[in-house]
Amino acid sequence: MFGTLCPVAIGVGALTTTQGSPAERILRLAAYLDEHRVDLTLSAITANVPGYDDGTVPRDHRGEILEGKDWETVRKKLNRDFKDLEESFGIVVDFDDANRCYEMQKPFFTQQERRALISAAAVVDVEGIDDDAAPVGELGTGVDEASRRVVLRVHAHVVALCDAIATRRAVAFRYHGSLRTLEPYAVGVWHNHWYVMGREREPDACRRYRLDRIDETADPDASVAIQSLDPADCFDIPDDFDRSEVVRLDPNDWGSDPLVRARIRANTDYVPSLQREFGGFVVERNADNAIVEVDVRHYVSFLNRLLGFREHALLIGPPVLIDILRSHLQQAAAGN
Amino acid sequence: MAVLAIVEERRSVSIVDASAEVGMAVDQLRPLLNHVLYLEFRDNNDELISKTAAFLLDEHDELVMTDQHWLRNLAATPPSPSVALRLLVACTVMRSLDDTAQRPLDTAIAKLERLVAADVVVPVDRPPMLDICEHARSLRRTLRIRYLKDALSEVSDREVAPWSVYSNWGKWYAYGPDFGDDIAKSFRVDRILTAELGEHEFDAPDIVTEFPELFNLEEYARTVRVRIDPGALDGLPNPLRLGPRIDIGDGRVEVDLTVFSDQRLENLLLMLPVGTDILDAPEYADIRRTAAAELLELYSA
Repeated sequence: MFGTLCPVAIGVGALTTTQGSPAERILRLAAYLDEHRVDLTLSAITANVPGYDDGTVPRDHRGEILEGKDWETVRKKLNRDFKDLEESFGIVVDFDDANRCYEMQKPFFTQQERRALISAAAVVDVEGIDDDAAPVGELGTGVDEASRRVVLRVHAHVVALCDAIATRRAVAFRYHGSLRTLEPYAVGVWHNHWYVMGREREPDACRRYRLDRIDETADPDASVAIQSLDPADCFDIPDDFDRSEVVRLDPNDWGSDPLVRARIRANTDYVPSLQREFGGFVVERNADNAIVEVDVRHYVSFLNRLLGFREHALLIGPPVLIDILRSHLQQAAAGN
Repeated sequence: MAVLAIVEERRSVSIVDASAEVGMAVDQLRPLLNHVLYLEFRDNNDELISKTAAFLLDEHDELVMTDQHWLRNLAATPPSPSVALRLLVACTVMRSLDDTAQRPLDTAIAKLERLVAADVVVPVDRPPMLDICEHARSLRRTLRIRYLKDALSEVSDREVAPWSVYSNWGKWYAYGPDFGDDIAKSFRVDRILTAELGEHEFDAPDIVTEFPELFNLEEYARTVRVRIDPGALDGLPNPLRLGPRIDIGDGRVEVDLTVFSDQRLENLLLMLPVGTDILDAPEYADIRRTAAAELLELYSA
């Protein structure tokens, strides 16, 4: 049931209907715009939408408002309402000087896109971006939490870094006590930690930094840990920059030790965990064990991670890695 | 109007809940809503312009969207930068979860990427057993699993009732009790070694909305204070919490290292590089020696 309609004078149209409140007038204006996307002249709008012309505004025989004080009054009123429409609903109406008429800007998202966005916002809870500041009514802020299946936390510095990347501003921050100046290229998350990657000016090299290890400022004169530096547009992101590099953090990908292929004998139940940790390939398998081969480029990191598997995954080659591991264990067993 | 946005995003909302969310008394909200609910007039040509089909306030005071949010259909202003970033991250994750063709989502992502104008890389993990967990959940059928609690535990075979499947802290979890039990647990999907549908059906709570508070790990925190080569810190595996560093002047730093289980502490002690001094607790040095000796035997056999 639609309930009782508000009384609307039906008859000869808008010029004789009740004026209504400003809110009503503005909503009627929006409804009119929705129905009439073209020929939006001042005269047409104010003739057809109740609340602008109570019948006293002088018009010519074609219905065009005559220039003068009343024209100016009505025009200002309409423009104020357009401003309200923009502020309240994001509906933007521009004036086309050439054609002397108003034109509505196209919607930013289509209805189907908006539905997809709302669905995504309902499923994925993104925390850490203006959690308390996003006003009710912004897209995605009104979803039902019962549908949420994924929670993802964005580090507090991501917003500032994205802004710096978008405006091509370098940033300054302290990292383990040292001041760094970085031209940021991309941010990303790996194993639940956020990273920024870019070119560090000194020593002019590509670097990656973990955001939760950026020093929080203790300087009372510095209000934020990451300072954006002027000017904007002071650097370009190289065309050959691969954005996936920001989360290419496995030391076996970027390490600088001579490449070797490790062979690990792992209890069958631990093979999935092992492969999740290192990648690699199963090259032999029996009922109890499997042999997994992994390319290694960072010996210390690899061996540390392998130690986490203890007796469930044992290194069986190559000799260079076994020697390093055995030496470490001997020293540790001796209390060194 | 914020209230109409909520109605669109939830399909329906009580006027009482809506008024609470926008911070307005119901009596103040009603007349404003009426302007939208009963929006209808005739233009100068006597043509009816009506938007009454869009929203409805039913006899239970429930606001319902019955057609389209015609006002939002006209919105030309882009979302604010923070909203755009939030939506971009959500949509990127959503896209990874559902790889069926979704053109509106793709075009929305493209618009958001232009707005954010910064590369934000959000890889999403899809463990192999995720689909069968979801399948069991949707059928309300138990799941027989072979489960490895963590890299150093023993394997267990069990039958669980997956009430919900969710992702938190970058990992997927099947949440529910062992079949026949009352206490729900979270099982990491990437630690499920094998899974098959069980024979039993289960009743799940109507709504499982609160993700379990299992990430407050402080009660499991184990801290060791060391003097260590700072260059070695990045080679220690995660998860690891580093305390403030104190430069002690011999090239090393003094720092607290915190992990979140006894097993992980033992692993950490084993991994500390030669030349590291363990300051606190002193017994940790013995643990390190013992663990190293045990493992060394395996490499000497």
